[in-house]
Amino acid sequence: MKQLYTVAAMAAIIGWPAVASAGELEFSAPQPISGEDRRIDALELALDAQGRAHVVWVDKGPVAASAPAGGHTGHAGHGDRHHARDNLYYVRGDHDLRFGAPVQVNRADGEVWGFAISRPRVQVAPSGSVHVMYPANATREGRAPEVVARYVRSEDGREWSEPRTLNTPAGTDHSDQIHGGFSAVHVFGTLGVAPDGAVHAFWIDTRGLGAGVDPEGASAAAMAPAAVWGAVSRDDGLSFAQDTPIIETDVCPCCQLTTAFADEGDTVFLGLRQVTIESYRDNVLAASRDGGNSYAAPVRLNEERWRLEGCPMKPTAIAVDGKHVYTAWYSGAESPPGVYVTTSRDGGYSFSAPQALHPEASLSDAPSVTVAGGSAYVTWHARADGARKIYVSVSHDHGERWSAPIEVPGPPGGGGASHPLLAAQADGSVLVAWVQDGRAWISRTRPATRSAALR
Amino acid sequence: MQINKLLISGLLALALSASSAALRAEQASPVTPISAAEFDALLQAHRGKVVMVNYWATWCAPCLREIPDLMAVAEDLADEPFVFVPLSMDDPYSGQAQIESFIDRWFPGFESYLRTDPEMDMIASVVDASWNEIMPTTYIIDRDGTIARTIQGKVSKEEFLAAVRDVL
Repeated sequence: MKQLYTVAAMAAIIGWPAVASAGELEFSAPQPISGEDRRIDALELALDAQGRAHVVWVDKGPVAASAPAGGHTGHAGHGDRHHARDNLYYVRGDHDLRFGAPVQVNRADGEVWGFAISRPRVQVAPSGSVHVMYPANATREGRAPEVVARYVRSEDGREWSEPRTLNTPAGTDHSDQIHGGFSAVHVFGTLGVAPDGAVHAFWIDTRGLGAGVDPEGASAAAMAPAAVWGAVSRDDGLSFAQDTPIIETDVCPCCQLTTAFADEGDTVFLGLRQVTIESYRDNVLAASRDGGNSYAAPVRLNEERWRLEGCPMKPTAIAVDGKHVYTAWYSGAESPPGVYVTTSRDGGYSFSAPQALHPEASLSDAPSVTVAGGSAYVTWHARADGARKIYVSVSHDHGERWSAPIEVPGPPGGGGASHPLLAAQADGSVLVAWVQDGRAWISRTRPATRSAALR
Repeated sequence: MQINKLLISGLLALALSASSAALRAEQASPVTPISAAEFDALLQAHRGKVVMVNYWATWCAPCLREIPDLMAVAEDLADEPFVFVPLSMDDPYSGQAQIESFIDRWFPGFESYLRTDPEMDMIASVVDASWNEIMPTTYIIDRDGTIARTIQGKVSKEEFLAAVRDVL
């Protein structure tokens, strides 16, 4: 009871009256981030040291212009598919989760290549500078179009730097192999700012596509062994070292990368999905223990191996709290298929057996994970009883037990919600953001009581 | 081998591109935009037949590798009470013209529906509300409209044929 009074008092102080309690957690009323007249996708969320939300998304056009026959006119010179037409927007919220007018981040109008499972990334450095990475359509003279890893930074969220391409130009041309006819792609990336201020960027890279593979003898899956490349800035994003290969082969080419840090930035975690020649697609975690200079062989997270000659489009979410490393991911091989979580208690060297978070749902997917006030939170979208909704589970004992799924209250009359994100605040509360009916929404949650049954 | 086929198809398509572009106005488009409601009505209209629904996208390499096999299955079963219903999950804002161009170049003769709803989930739910956004996904739907088999990832033509014949 004392805790409930405390929650109510804190809610009043910071201006978010808890409107819904689902046993374990209370939620503030969902607030719109994006306007009702635009359709958005590929939402991404980060917090600064003051707990303010920094959000980016890919704008897909006005709501009224629904899927015209013939499509957008596009912009010349960007190939015959993935036509450039989307823009990237940024907005910062205040402590009451009120957001102003969004600012377009990309300078070349329509160059952004993004969707729900290929999100742009936003991070805020300890210095307060804002760092954004996104995939962008690009052309070079005499070559088929390509998709590059673009980076911009800002001191205030209003003025953005000249875009920088993080990948060095690919010398190879695989336009005859890459669907879409691209000569090279540097996509599905992630960006993180370590506690020491180093900016680490990673992306999936096709420049070595098919190297060493017998095209007549190998399986179809092995025809596309992508790699992870990365680049690091140690001067707050003002410059980057030349990109280098991090994981040179067997990377699933359509599952977005993730990253997290420990030990003040000495330890860098990289989440990805690998693919073997037999088409097993394993969730793995690679770790650098020297600040990103070298990476050990990845550790497999799943027990049951998922064999799929297809596009999973399922990333591996990561959050770190000291020696506790939490991962959440989708598996089509575990029983039942859906969202699973594993925890390491030794700094990412070994992981617990996977636990299903929503086994009763007919679908659970797209997890995100964070740690706030010593508790771990996972969110995902699921179909349990009708429309697709957002759920959260919390663990107060370092991943030993997780609460039953807790539904995040959505806007009145809302349709299917998807692709949620979490960000932890210093006061122990957690922001949950998601996309619903083409619009971005956000809510704040915190523990209501610790008495709810855990399993 | 599949890539060689793609290349050969692509070269043929390029050689014919000028004439095909000129003929586009006179020919039926290989792409038919469709909403979730229209897709539901389409499947209802096919009750009494076995239906093979295939979710694919131009950006999904395994999807593209299986399209020739799916087309061959449809050809083999042309005299049976069977319908092949490909549905492109490409972003509807990319537009019909881009998908037409893609099909012309790589898969001449292939005809597909293209979703018009902004979210894939809306139209996918007509067949399977629990679709997990994996590409490719193929559903074999029996004569009563019930999903008899769900196939995710590329399989061989023989596996597709066996799955359909099980319910024909």
